[in-house]
Amino acid sequence: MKSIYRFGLIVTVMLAVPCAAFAQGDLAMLDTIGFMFESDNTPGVQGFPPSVAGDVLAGVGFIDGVSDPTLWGVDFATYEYTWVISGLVASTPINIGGGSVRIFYTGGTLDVIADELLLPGYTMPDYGTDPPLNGPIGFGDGHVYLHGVFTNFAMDYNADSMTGSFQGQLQFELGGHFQPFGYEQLEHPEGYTLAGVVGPATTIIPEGYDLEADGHIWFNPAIPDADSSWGSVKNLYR
Amino acid sequence: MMHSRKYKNLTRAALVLVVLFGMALPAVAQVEVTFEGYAKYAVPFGGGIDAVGAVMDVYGYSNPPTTLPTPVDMDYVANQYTVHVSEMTVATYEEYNLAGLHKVVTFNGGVLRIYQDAKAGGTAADFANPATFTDGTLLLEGNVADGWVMDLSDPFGMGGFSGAGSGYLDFVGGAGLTEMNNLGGPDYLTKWTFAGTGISDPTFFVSVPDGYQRIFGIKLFYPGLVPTDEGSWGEVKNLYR
Repeated sequence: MKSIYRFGLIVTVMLAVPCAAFAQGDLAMLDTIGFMFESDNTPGVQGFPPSVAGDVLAGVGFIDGVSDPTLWGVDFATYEYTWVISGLVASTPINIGGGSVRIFYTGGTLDVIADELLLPGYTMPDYGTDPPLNGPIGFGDGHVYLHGVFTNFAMDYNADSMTGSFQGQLQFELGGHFQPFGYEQLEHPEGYTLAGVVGPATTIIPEGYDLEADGHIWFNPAIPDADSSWGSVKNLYR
Repeated sequence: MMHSRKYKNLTRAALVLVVLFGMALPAVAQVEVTFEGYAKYAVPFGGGIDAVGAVMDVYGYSNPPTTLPTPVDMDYVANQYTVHVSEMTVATYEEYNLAGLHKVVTFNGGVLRIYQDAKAGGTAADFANPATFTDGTLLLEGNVADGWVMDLSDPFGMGGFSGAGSGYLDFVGGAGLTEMNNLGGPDYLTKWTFAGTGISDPTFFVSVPDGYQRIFGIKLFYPGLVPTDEGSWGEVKNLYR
C-alpha cells in the first residue's frame, strides 16, 4: 500500500502537476429516489412548473442502492441512508426545443445522511405534505455521510410528457461516517448527480411536492495525491 | 432488511386505513416499481446508437421500495427482481441546437418483462451475463406503446449526453397479471407510464459494463389511483404478530 502511495507521489512530481491530483479509482454510485419541491411553496399552489427566476428548488429522499456496499461502508442493515438537496436558485428557463426547457440553478447543497436504525432517537423519515410547512421530517437526522456543494446544476423538463432530468456536479466533503472505515483523509471527492424526474399531476407525488426524482449520486473516492518536492519523495525511501 | 420492513409498513398502513374507514370496495393507493440498469444497442450498418433502425435492449434490477408499494406483491427478502426491455427500435431522431445540442429520439415496439428469481437457488443478476436477468418466473410482461420518447442533452459539456424518457405500456402477461386484474380489472392493466430515469452516456463519472452503451433507470407507475388489497381486522392484527 505504501508503495502504491509512493508511486502516486512520484508520478505527481514527475508530471509536475501544480495542484493536488486524484488517483483514478472506481467511482462509488448510490441509487437515489425521492421528491422535490420548488417555490412558490404556498399550500395549494403548484411550484413547478412554472419555474421562474429566483425560485428555490429543494428535495429529500432515500438512498435505495449502492454500487459496492462492502467497499464504501454502506450498511443497509444498520443504517438508513437519505439525501437532502437544498438551496438551488433557479434562473430563467431556456427553450431547448422539442417542447423542453432547461433551467440552470446556482448555489445549493446535497447531503447524504446515515441514520442508525436501532438508536433510540431514530425517526422513520416522512415526506409529509406541503413542504416545508408540514414536512419533510427525519431525512436530515443522523451522521453526515457526504456533504456536497453544487458547482453547477441544470434541469431539462418537458411539460407535455411531465418528465425530465436533472444533473449537477459537486465538490463533496466526506462526513464522520467514513472515519471507522479509514477514509477520513478523503476530504474533497468530486461528485455528480443525475436523475430522471416525473412531474406533478401524476398521483405518485405527495401533496405539495412537484417532482419525483429517481437517479444516482456518484463520487470519486480516490485518495487525493499530495503535492511533494523531489526531496520529500527521496526522503520516503530513507 | 429494513427496506423490507418499511415496505411491509406501507402495506400495513394501507390495510389499516381500509379497515378504519370501513371501506367495502377495494381501497386506492399509489404504486410504482423502479429498476436500475444499462442499455445495449444493435446498430444499423454505418449508424450510431441513436440512428433510425438501432435496436435497444435494457437490463436492470429492482431495489426494494422505500416510498411507495409495488403494483403486485413482491418479496424482496426472498427474491431478486430483474427487468429486460427488448427490441425497442429507434423510429425517429431529431436534433435541436438552441442552447447546446438537444437530441430527441423516439422508439417503436418493445416488450418489457419483469422476472422474479429466488435468492436461494436462483442466479444473481450479472450484467456480464444478460441471461441472468431473464431467468426465474416471468412476473409481468408489457407491450411498450409506439412513440416512446427519449430526451438527451449535455448542458455542461461533459462529453456525454444524459436525460430521461417517457412513454406507456400495457401489461399483457406474466404470473402477476391475474393479481393485477383482480385488483383493478382490465383498465388497471393498460397505459402504465414507463419512464426512463437517469439515462446517460458514459462520462468521467458514469461508467457502463462492457457491451453496454448507456446507464438506464426505469420507473413504472399507473397514472391514476390504483386499487390495493382489502384486509379484515384480524388480518391486520396478524401482520403485527
